[in-house]
Amino acid sequence: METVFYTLQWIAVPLLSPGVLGLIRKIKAYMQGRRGASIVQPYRDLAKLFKKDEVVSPDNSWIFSAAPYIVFGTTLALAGSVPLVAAFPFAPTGDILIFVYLLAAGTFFLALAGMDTGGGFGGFGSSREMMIAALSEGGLILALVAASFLAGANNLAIMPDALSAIPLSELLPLFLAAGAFFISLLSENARYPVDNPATHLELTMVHEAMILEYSGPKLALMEWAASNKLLIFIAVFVNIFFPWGLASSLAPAALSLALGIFLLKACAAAFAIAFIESTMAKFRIFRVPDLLFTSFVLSAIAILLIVL
Amino acid sequence: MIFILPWLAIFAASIFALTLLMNLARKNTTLVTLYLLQSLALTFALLLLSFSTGSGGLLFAALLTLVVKVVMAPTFLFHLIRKYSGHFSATSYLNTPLSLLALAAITAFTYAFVSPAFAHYGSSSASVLFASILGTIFLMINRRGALAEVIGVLSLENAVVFLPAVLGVEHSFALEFAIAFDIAVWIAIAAGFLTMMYRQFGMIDGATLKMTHLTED
Repeated sequence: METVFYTLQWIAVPLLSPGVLGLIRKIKAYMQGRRGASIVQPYRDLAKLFKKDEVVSPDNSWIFSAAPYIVFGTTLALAGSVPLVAAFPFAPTGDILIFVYLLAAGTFFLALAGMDTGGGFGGFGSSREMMIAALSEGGLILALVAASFLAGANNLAIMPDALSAIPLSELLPLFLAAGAFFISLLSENARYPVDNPATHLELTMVHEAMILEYSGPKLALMEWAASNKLLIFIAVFVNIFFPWGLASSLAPAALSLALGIFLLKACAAAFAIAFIESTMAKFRIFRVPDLLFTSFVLSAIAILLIVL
Repeated sequence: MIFILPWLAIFAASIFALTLLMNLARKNTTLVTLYLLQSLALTFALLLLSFSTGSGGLLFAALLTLVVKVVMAPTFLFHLIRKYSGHFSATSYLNTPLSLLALAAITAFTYAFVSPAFAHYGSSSASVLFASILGTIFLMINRRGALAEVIGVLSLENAVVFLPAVLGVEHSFALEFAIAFDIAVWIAIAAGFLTMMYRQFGMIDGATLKMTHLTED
């Protein structure tokens, strides 16, 4: 039963993820006084891109062709292991270090693909991305380590059960770590104030610069992988750092209730992201390290509160 | 009393978290809002204590805290910010990462050296509140803006008032009244000080005052 559930979740993440992106865009549009595109627009965009032909430079190596599959594959590998509606013990890629380093592997190939084209945009995009990834990884790992210390477990699929049993009065370190993780969520997913996901301006783009040479189905895979990653981060954020409302059994009624609660929590996280994107300006690239170091130190304080 | 301990721990944690956020805030308006929230947490804690101990004096003290720290002080501080256009002057001597590193060191120091002193009271919240006290002192030292330093003093009082409560030391109404009076005096002094500073220098940022106007014309 648990294997079936793992497989279902593995399918659910890529199916739901473009919807989350559409929801964030819709909330942003409302906050800016526009009607905005439909929530299903990202699905239409993906369908359109999959039907299109692609243009590939003859100077590219195999890395350029393989990167979209590797990047998409890393997000799929993680999809089954993050707790969406229930905590379950069978999660082979749920260890926090596997989580962080599978993401890092995806980022590494994304950066390589950006440089592989030999274009100026890809090069600076990759350079910026690696700087941001290197700085945000510390905060990300320590935030998860803080949660892991509190839970007494290091598998993402098991942690919510242990964390939800801790009294609210002792969860200050978890909430500090949540703040740190949220900063990492924004930076790892190319969101404001670190990156602007909607821009193609030379001075501001990071993620978009790396995938500028992609077109057709490979661009679709890259975009789909980015939305998968966003949903995975949101799932970890709402279920590890606010670990209430997950199903304790695999009974249909419990799962339905847990699904409703998860959707509510995910919508709240999407609203928080959209709110930040509508109310604050993007940081200059040299102010980004300040923000990411803040994430690192917040996690360190959380760990100090637990360990000392 | 034993039933309200988890709630006191939650309020103590909120005060510590708000102290950290105050050290991160870059706008004076944000600082005042965070101070307001911190004072609100203290008010709820005092209300809870008064209901659990049945003390009318503490209830009156909680209401006094609500009026002075949650309503009057923030309103007055917001007015000062508007009057002197000081929205963005909450700059600090150390940048954000270094400030946070200092706060991490303060927290580590508190837990390593001060916690054992509170061990026999059986409350872990005392250490969190002590870290808040040191955190607000750091806020006062680290900030350039005069208004941020005033808020640092007021915030320090929130943690100082709450510390005896979690240690189980009884509050007297006279003490609470004296603290509320102290805050009112503080705000009056701060208002006078800031007004004089603005008239003399045209700004309320203590670190970048134009020294050319130090003498009367």
